[in-house]
Amino acid sequence: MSEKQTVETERALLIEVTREGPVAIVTLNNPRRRNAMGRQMRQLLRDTMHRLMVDDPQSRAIVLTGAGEHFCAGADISEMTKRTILQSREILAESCVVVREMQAGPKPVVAAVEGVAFGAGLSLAVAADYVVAASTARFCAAFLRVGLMPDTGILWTLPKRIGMARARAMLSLATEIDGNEAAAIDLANEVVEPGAARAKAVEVALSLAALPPLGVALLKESLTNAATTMEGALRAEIDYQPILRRSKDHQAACKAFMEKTEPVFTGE
Amino acid sequence: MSIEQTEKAAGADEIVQVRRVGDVTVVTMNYPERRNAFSMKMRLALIDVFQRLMNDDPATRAVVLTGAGGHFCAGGDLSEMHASTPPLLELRERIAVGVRLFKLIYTGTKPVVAAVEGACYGAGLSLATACDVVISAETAKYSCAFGKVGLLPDTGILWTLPQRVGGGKARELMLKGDVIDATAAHRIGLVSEVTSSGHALDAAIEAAARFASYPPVTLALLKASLVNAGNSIEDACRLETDLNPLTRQTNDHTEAVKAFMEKRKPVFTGA
Amino acid sequence: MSEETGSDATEIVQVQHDGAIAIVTLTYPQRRNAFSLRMRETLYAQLYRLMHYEESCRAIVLTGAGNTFCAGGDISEMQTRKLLEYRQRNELPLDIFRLMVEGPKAVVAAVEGFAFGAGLSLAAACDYVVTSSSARYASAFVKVGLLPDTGLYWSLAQRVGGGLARELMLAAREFDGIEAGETGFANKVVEPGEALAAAVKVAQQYAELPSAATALLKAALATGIRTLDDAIEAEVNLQPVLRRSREHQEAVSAFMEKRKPVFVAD
Repeated sequence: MSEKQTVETERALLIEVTREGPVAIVTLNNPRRRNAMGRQMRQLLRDTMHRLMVDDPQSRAIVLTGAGEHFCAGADISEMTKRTILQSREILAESCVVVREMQAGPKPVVAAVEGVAFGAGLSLAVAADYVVAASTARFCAAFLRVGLMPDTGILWTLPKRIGMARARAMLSLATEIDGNEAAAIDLANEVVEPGAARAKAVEVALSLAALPPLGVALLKESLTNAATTMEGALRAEIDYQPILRRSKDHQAACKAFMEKTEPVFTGE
Repeated sequence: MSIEQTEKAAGADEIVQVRRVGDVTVVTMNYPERRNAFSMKMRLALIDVFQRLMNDDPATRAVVLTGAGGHFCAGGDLSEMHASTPPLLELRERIAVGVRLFKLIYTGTKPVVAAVEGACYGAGLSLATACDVVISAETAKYSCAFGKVGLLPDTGILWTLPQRVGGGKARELMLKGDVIDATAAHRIGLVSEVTSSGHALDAAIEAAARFASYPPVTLALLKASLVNAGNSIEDACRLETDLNPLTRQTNDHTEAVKAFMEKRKPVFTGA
Repeated sequence: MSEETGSDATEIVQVQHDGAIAIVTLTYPQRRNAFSLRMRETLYAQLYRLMHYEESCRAIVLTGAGNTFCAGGDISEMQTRKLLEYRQRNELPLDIFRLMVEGPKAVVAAVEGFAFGAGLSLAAACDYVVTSSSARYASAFVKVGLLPDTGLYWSLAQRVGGGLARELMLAAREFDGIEAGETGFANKVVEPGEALAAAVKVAQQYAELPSAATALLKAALATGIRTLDDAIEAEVNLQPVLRRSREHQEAVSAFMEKRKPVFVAD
């Protein structure tokens, strides 16, 4: 293999994609560094997530998880060399693309968290639609401890899950909580035994994959973009609902309800 | 506490029944054979009623919304949706009807208390969360399963559910469409209070009656402010500065101060 | 070790320093620390000084004397005034609210007893609320024909969500410290009498963290972060500044050298 091919293969391995039926499983793959994210890995994650969302008819739902015992320990601190302001801005904007894809993209995303989800790792976890946490998972917005502010969209995604009061405390004090506490405050949707997060996440993703896809897509788009004000929310329903009422999948759902059969959804 | 009951009989076969209990008007969705399904007829009847109560009925100081036959509302009428699919523009009109009803409840001049027994599904949940207070029987059940039939959650719930339970939990309920019980609903902030089965209406009337003891102009201005006041610090400050002086100039506020200084109960007139 | 600032024992807002923490005590116990004009003027002056000029102060605790936080506006001051006077008198409470929310240092509330009306607004404007389990809260404004003020429209929804804030403001419903903890209004619930000590401990945690990051995080959160775009804009604008700060560089060096960082602000 040429040197260029070797580098590309290694680079590609930083993010792995496997499948289980209509579920695509995205695995952060740098277990020796607890899946800490360097720039290469972030760019690859961004491209992978985008491709799965808009150019992958095989999948209807996505699971995000980490290789080895941990989810993601955050940004790679060894890469935090002095940068210009413009470089920093560009890199930050890059990371945020992933969050936008996860939140507003058409397919549901389920995070499976074992071990640590620190800093940007926490940001990624809470950007998912549904979070499955092992009871021993550890969540911490560690940013403040290294003199940075919380990033990768967490200023929006964390308060949405746990409310602004709790988020403010967690973000500004860099406090750590485990999977059980995370579920108690709804940072995680569900808590499982250690080692069981991935399987449970796939189970949830499979059930979400069975939903009419167009409805899911417009729901996620509405909740992220349109419904941030009351008027925006009302406009979204007037604009989108008629399209959905006329969709084949909605007709199929009504028919199945009347005839008491199981519907099959095609996305049209 | 005995409540003076004034029966304002609108006929037992009206799809929405209205009766006054003191200063409170109780609005009952009455289509029990279909668990008060949110048909177009139901929506139009509710709009008529709320339009009148909010804008044309000074005797009503607060409203209770409930359902007949042991259920609140089981959601949209799927058989109606299966039977006909109107053209796009007509559908927009029909959705706008639901939006009009939502706005009457959510941005109207009087507080609305939901009394929930039994099923509170789909658009039924939208109605409940549009209310200012939700009183739930312990046996009530809640779900937001629009997505299962390929629809978007509607009638304002894209706004009101996240406002009540947070964006993350709302997303979960809207995606999974699971049924949750009253205890879970209370824990996540979906309902304000849980009562024993069969007693949600009594508790709701009591809660609504308490509103009736506050100055009506203040309540109306408050409900109006709340639509946008939480959007930003600028919006909050501007609304405060613009509207607070109005309330300070009301007779009811002067009466409240006077009553406090004289250590007696205030008597509000709505001026 | 603490020292009194303000030798006047009748000072309506007292400030004590405890290391890097400033403890600000609303002191008008005969009127349950009512939010009178003199209280507002003094509180604003003290907070402004602590936030912007007192370098030795790294975090602030806000509490009330006489085992109560603040029972609300001073009703005896509520006389009939001209419209423009009302508008002008509303500026100071909003300035206090904005100072607490937008200022560079964390404010930790220690709540015992009553936090009604403007008292609720003051607690809600804090970054972190420590409450006694038996504290009593209410947005009592509507009961006296007034609308919520001192920023409560924004700050209550921030802490408990729009739906519950709406209900609490309309119904003027009272809730206690336990419910404050359950709804997220309060971050920490303690036994009666222990709120101040617990609040000082939390303030010390804030004081030990990098000051620039703390200040910029507060600034970002003060914009409300209503949308994902808001969050992205805040971090793209502010993070590069922090990346170039002395405190961040020290944290990175400490990490690489496997030692504890020593933070010195720029």
